[in-house]
Amino acid sequence: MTKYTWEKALRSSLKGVPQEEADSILDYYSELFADKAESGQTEKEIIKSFGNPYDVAYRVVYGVEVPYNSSGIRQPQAEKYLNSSSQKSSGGIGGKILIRLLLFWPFFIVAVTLWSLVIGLGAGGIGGAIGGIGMVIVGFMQMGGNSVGGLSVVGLAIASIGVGIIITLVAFFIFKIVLRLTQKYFFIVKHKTSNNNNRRNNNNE
Amino acid sequence: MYSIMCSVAPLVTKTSFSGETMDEQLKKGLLEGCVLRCIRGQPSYGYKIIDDLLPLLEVSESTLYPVLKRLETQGLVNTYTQEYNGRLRKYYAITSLGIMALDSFREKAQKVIKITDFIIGGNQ
Repeated sequence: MTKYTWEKALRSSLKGVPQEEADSILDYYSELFADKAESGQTEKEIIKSFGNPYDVAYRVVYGVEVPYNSSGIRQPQAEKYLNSSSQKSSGGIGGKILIRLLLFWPFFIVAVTLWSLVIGLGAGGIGGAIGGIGMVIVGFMQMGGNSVGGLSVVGLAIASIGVGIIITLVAFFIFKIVLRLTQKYFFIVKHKTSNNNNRRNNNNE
Repeated sequence: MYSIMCSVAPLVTKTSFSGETMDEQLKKGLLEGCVLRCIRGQPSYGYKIIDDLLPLLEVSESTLYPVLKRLETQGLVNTYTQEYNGRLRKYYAITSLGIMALDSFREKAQKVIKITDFIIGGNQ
């Protein structure tokens, strides 16, 4: 087994663990690997000292030794523990994100409102501009029979294009602000919920 | 003796005994105290902490990780990364809360030492 395959096996054993935590564990081992190598140990010796990646994952996640029976076979509860760990973090990515978002419902409502405003303004602006272009064509066509009527339609159409462009620009400006706010919102939701989980896990211990 | 040891084990953190043997529980509690003691003087890193603790008690990398994580979550330890030999190394530094926890650990450990001395003396 090489460093690469050992780390790959460890990552695979940490499948049920949240990504951030799994990365932290792998960084920890990568650093230890480098420190041990610098102290003169060979790759083989280091891997041997770390042990079986599955057992390492179990000990790191649960803080206890892996239960083996007298024949040296891993006991079923070890499998159950790691499976329950994967259940903890599974449940569908979409569902997990939605639950997290709904936990912060006042922000969620504000975010939905702002995005509706942006989409509404953007659609209205673009629609107005496109409609204006259509009206210009209609206006020019009418100018043949009724020049005054046609001209007023063209005037209205140009005004519609102008207003449409202005609304689209305003929508784009608000879009940038709302996008930044949404990113911050996701950041807060992600960190608050992971901190809460840490605290909960800690209390459970 | 078990109850005395149990009182020592969760000195720094709240821990339960579910699914753990007394040895594991005791080791956990002692390890937290040992790690705090290791970084009391100056910040240290994973490999160095294990190296410092090895003469005292058997500690593996996978045993240390949850302890460090727990201490960090409880605010007893702060972490930061620093470049070393072209790579990043994570350092663990004790916080003021960690110092308080270590002092509390020491006080309680003194009491346990007295009782242990009594038990050892009783065998003679």
